[in-house]
Amino acid sequence: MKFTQLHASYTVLSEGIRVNVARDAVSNINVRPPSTAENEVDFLRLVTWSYAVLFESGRVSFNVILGLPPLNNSVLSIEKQAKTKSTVQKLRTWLFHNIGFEKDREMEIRSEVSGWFISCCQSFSPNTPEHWRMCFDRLCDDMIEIIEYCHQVLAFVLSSPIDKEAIIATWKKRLQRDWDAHEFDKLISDSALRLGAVDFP
Amino acid sequence: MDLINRAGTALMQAISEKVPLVLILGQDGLTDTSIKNTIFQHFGLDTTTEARWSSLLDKMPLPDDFYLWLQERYSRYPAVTWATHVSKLPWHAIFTSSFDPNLVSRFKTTSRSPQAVLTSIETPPAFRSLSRTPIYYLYGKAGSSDAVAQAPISKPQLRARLSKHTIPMLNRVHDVATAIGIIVIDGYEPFKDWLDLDNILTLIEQAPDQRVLWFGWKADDTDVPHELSELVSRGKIVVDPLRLGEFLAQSEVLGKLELFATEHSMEPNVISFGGDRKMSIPPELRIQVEASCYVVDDSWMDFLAPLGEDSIYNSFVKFHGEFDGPKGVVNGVRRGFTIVRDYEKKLNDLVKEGVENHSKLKEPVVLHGQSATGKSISLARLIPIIKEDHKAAILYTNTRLPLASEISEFCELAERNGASATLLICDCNVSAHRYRDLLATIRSRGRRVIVVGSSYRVNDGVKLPREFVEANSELLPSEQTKLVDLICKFVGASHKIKVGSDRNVLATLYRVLPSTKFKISSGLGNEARYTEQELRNRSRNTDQQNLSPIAQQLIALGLATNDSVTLENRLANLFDDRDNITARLVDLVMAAGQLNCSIPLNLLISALNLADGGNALNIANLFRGIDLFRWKSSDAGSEDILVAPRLTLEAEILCRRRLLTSDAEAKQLLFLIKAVRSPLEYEESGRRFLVDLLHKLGPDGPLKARYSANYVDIGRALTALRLDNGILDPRLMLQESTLRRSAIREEKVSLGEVPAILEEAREAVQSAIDFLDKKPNRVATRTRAHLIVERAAIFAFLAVNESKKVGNTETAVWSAYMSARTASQMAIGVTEAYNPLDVALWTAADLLKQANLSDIHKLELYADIFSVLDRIDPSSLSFESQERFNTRQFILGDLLELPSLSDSALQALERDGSAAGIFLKARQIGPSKKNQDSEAYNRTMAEQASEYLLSEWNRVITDERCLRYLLSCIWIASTGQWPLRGERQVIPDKEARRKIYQCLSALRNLGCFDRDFSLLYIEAVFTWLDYDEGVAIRLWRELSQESEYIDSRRVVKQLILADDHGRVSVFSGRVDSELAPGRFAVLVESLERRISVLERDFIEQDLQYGRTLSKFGIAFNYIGPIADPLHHEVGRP
Repeated sequence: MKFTQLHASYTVLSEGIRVNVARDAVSNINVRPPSTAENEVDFLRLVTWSYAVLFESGRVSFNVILGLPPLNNSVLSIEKQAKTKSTVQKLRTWLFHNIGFEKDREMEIRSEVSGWFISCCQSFSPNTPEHWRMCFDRLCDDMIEIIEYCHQVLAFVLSSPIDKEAIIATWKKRLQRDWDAHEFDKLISDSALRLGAVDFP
Repeated sequence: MDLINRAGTALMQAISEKVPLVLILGQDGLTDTSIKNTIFQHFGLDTTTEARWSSLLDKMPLPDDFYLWLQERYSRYPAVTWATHVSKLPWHAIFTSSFDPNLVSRFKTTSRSPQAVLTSIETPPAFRSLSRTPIYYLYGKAGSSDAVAQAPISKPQLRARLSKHTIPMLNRVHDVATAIGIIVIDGYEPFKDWLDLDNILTLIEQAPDQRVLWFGWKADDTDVPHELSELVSRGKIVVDPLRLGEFLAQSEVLGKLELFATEHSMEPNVISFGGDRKMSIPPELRIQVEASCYVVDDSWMDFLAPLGEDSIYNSFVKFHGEFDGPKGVVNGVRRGFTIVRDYEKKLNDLVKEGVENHSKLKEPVVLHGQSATGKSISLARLIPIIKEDHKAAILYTNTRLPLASEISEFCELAERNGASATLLICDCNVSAHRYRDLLATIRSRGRRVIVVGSSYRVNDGVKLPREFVEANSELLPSEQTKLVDLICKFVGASHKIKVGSDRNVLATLYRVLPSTKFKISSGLGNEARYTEQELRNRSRNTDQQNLSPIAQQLIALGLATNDSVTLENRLANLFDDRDNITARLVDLVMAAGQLNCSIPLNLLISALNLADGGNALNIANLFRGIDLFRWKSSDAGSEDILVAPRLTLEAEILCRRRLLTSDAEAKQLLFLIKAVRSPLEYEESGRRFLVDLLHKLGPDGPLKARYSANYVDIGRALTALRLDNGILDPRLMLQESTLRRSAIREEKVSLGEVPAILEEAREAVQSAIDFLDKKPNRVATRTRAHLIVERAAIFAFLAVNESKKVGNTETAVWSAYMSARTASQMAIGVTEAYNPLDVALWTAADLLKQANLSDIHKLELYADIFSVLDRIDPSSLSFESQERFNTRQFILGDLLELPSLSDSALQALERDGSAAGIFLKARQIGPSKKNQDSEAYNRTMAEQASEYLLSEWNRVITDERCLRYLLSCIWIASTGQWPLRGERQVIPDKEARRKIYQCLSALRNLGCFDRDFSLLYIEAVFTWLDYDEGVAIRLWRELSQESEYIDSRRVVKQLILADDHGRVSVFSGRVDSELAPGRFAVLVESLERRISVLERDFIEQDLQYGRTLSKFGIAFNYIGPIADPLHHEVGRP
């Protein structure tokens, strides 16, 4: 199954990042992975898993890698990867949020998701196992491509004697600055107390 | 903590006001310290204490491959996260001391394609632009291999770079920013950057106060020199300790980032057509098109949020104050802020007809009328009307006419995506022939386009084509009622208001509305507020049912007027107590404004002869202080900032009141012309303005020959620009000549001065032709054609002038005429326009009437006249040209009768080696266009004439007139029709073709092919039919290239294959390749020939490789043989 290949590729990449950058540069993914590629549930799980990879566990690291100038000046590959990220984000929003039709942003999401489905399985709303399998395979292919691109970039960075140190230093700095929202709560309470706002909730 | 501080506020205001925004980016660029640290480590420098770019100067000379190595570093480092925010701001230009080659891609967005400028000798596509933003690399770019543009590695190279490129580029900052723009400094640290502080100080000192924002300012930095600190404390510079990126990142956290967003940063929208077809415009194409006009995408019809009462009124006032750009005008129209004038019905019907089938409109749709008659509103209203039907793509411009090359690709893309046509709306107020030229040029490329344009009023007494719509000056009673309703609805007045019927009423409306926009007292505003308060007070004290305060004011201030007196007084009051500079400024803007010419801001300031920044500030403040001017962008890319009066009518009124005479007005225009001091200034801001101004002040402009007494002075001012200031533009050189010649024609020049002035004109035209010949340029082909026609006219003037001289000799007169004839023949060949034909006619006619010539020469002149008349097809002339041709025929009078030919005269001609007698004799036998005899009679006459000419072949072969007439006679004898008249005419039979081929060979030997596309066309068709397909294709290739953008007949199917009875032959064939998107090649097996097929002509048949296409005709245009869908009638023999 393609997901097996994808998962293996991701595991190797995350190990490489953790070993060479920082232990916490990529966190564990604990969402349930798809078990087959045959139905809607598996597709939903694949979307969730992909979102966790790109936007949660490896958010900072993937941003750094994909923010580097493209290898061999291949602007097209950078644009493709950006498109994949955007697709995953929109699929996840569409599948798991109650978006409407009133706002432009909502319509944009709906339109892109619908267009993506059509390009995968010629249906704007997959409803057969065949449809879901085609969508599943397509998303797997795109994710494999993005992970393998990240492999290449990481290898390039690590093998550069001049630039490796500076890039890794920047990477680490970004990891250090990346705080989860809840981590600010205590700081805010503390600051409020110092300012004398004792009743601050 | 106020994080949106003064610098941030100033930046926000600049963005909202859409003033030019220029970035000076220090050597840190858009990177963090990692690259700098890597570089310094490479050189063994301490990254903590010595981490400054200027330290590299001590390491010079740098290694030869340093910049290649640096380029590699830049290519490997991640972008900083805040760079995106900085790049999305609406920069008009960027000047940087950074070497980062990635800046071009960093600043690239979907609506911006930056252009790197590495040296001061380069001319960027735009000096300031939101879409083609130039990035000036002051010290060069890492990785550049161009020796001239390379970054310096040694101190001598650095010094050379500084004087040759860095300083000259920096000197452009103020021109790019203009007096009203903002300069932002970011990432620059004094003494740590290669860019010297003195250069920065110079820039700051020249700028108006508070127009320089410095981000990343370190107040506690002990290195900051005292004079810089003083500038800050004086308020000359506005500072912020945060770098710009940090400032924007903080704004994002505070949720205030959208305050810095602009329309331009939005994703480009799509254009929808019927049947759910959509066109998504590629960013590069959009940038190209928006250099000259706006693309009307679906966002122009976005939902209009409802407004509260106060907001509605403010929007209403703003709309009538002409403060909004084109989209704002369309929104105002959609909100119902205007009345619909009665003439708009005809306008809308015509445009809709064209959208359904563009070929039904032979001419552009021209909305003509005086100023302030609602033309701009009517054209803007077309947008929602046509957009609603989703049939056509729409482009809009209100500054300059686009070039066909700028929009052709867009039109083609629109057609491929389902558009029935492209509607090009040009609110440019130029003469109709310019719209016609544009339409012809675009259609010569096969594009389906409808051009709708505004123009000044065309004179009475001229029979106008149906495509002309007049915007009448008088308001009809129904329109007056609508205006009352409008005022009642938005202003709150009652229906007791009366409005006048004069067009001044429409212009007066804004002036009588109280405005809340301007804080500085402008007389009207204060008066309005005072009056309103008084009226409110009074109304409280009485029981009377009063009209609302505003309603009373409107009456008091004369909306019921039927003249312009009230408006005139209002305008004069706005600046009566102002200083000389203001008065001069008003005169300049209004003199150009009454010609509907908007002045580039930099040129205006230059014309006012300002020397220092202090006065430039006054100018900047004037725009805020006087409600007479408007400034706007020249296009969607904001490449030029233009100053104009609010309305052309107001300009006319002020000129009448202040300048009084045409001489005084011309003097102002001369100031503007002479203000262009260098080629750089000309390229930056003067070019479009001058070309437009010269068209409009000339005899074809809105004021006709008003400035004819000044034409020679203006022409000489242009010559001075060329000879003294080095401004070489063939279009200006053409105007140097036409203005002088117009002065002679208008008899503003004494007879004695005529030869000298004509010689000046000739020199200008010849210099222009020589200039273009040295630098061939496809876009300038039309200009070259105009120059050649102009040259012909000059020679014609010279010949006629020669004949008027006392004591002239026939030899001198005839020699001058021969020069004129040669020039005319060349001119006739380079353009399809009627002008050179007219020149040829009147030259010969004037000489016949005035000169004392021998009989032989007179017969030659007759022969020339008839030969030229044969080449005129009245049905293909524009209405203006038809009028001129009819007038010319009237003037020619009895010269249109063939002269009697005595034997002695014929023998004399023969002895002279002339074939004029043979030609005239053939004309006596053969058909003429004048004779509307039966077809059979014409054929008989044609046969007889061709027999006669063929019997004199040895003499005919050397005379173009005889050869052309012989060709026509053979053609008529075979088909019954004059050659190449109309569309889809039958082709002569094989025997006739053989004889015509002989004529073509002879004409080719005489050099006639160089100046007549139709001859090459006939040769290509006949070669394809009877000889070699490969040779024919080569001929068509040559013809297609030469006629592109010049000849509107290029895509017309003038000939079609038919049988002997005149029935169109029907073919079938197999699609065997796709030549281009939407164009296929079909093999016609019965002929063993390939032809082209356009997909749009056969929509119902799915054209693909291998498919059979059946039931089509084979027609021919200048591009080659093409399948015809057989929807039309064919001309039968």
